[in-house]
Amino acid sequence: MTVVEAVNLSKRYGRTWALRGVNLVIEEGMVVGLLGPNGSGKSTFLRLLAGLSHPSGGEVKVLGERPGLATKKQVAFVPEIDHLYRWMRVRDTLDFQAGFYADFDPARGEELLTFMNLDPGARVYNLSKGQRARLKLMLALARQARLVLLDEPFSGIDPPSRERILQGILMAYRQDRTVIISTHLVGEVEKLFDQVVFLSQGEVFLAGEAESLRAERGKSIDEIFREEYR
Amino acid sequence: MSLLRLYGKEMRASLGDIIMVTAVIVLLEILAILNYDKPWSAALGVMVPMVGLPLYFLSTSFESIHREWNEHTAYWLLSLPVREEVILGAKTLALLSRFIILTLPAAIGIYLFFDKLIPVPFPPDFTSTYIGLYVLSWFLFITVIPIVFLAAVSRHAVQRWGWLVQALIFVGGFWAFGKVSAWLAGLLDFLPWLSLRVPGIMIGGPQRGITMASHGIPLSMVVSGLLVAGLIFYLAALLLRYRVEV
Repeated sequence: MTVVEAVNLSKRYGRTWALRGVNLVIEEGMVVGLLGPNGSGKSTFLRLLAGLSHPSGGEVKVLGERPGLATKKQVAFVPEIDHLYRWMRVRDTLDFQAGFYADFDPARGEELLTFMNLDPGARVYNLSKGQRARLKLMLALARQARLVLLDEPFSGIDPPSRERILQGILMAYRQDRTVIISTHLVGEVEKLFDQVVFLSQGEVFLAGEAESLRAERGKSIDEIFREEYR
Repeated sequence: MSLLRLYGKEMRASLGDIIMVTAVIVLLEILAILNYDKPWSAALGVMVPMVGLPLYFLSTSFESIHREWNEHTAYWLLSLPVREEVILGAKTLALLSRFIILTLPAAIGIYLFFDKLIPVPFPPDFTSTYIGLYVLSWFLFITVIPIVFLAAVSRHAVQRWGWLVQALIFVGGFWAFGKVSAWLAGLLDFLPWLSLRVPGIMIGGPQRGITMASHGIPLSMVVSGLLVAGLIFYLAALLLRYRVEV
């Protein structure tokens, strides 16, 4: 089943094109690496999928529908930016999230809380950047969402937190779940990818199955990434 | 249920603010009542709340939208599977609750202040009229909130000149509100008038005391005002759904 379909998708901010003529199909059950340097359009693409931004041209469909109320029920989006209410406690963030999604799994939430090593009584403003990143991921992974969008989940995160996040993503793998991870830190996560999409200046210039690309070029995805963006 | 959850979130977010401002108002009113015979007491107990609170509520109404962007929580809020009308509805309810909580001590304080200041007894219908006018202020606030929301949301619907757009929509919103509700009131002219008693307060001179005068307001104006406020609220929700981005 097609989970994401972008046809000639474009997004413009003023005179700057953040995305230009993107054509992409992502099938169910894939872990997709959306790769590119800062400003290549990765976050814009994810925001369009999450329904937080509107295309300037072309079309995008998520689970067969234009991003909106219906798709938001099935999409879990974790932005790079800290988007949590800082006055909430960790427990409050879980409860708040649980209240809006029929697919929220409380048992899974508890399991992740322990795994991510977070104090349920701690205030968000007292958490370190790594802890906040783990909390954000936890909110997404505690749901049985069909599509999970992770925007730079490893950016600026300490190595122990990075490892936990990686483990968390692995734990959350399901055959009917699609995960799109945007990152410019390819090395540690490339083992997760089934498919990779390379973006540059808002355009897709390379996309395919991770394994085929590795075999074709005789290099790891990280090495291809470094070569392409040199 | 989503409305109640979002309302709870809004109320909890402003809890500290509510406690602090309520404490300040109570303190001002106590000071004014204890010093009712001093010339500055009316300024402290009546003028400060009557001028300060509307400005405060105007500012908090704008802030309730802008804070979501300033603190990046708009990413979370707008990715929730709820209609934009529910998001704005929860904010409206929370602002109205805050309005009632904060204006109640001011309304009681002002009443007690005049009771102390004016030696003659209040006219028999003064208390009920006073309560009626206080409740009327809630309805006035309800009609202002959608205009503020439309202006604040417009600021986030454009990529440049956001502040200017917000200011223009805010001023234009009031102008349009007046024009459209007056036109609509004309269509609803068949509705009856509501009798309204208006108190006149003299705090000095030989005619010191409270006089009551009978006036009336057409119900068509009240109904048309609420209908136009509802329309503006809906426009703000549509703008949030189709034009605003994070």
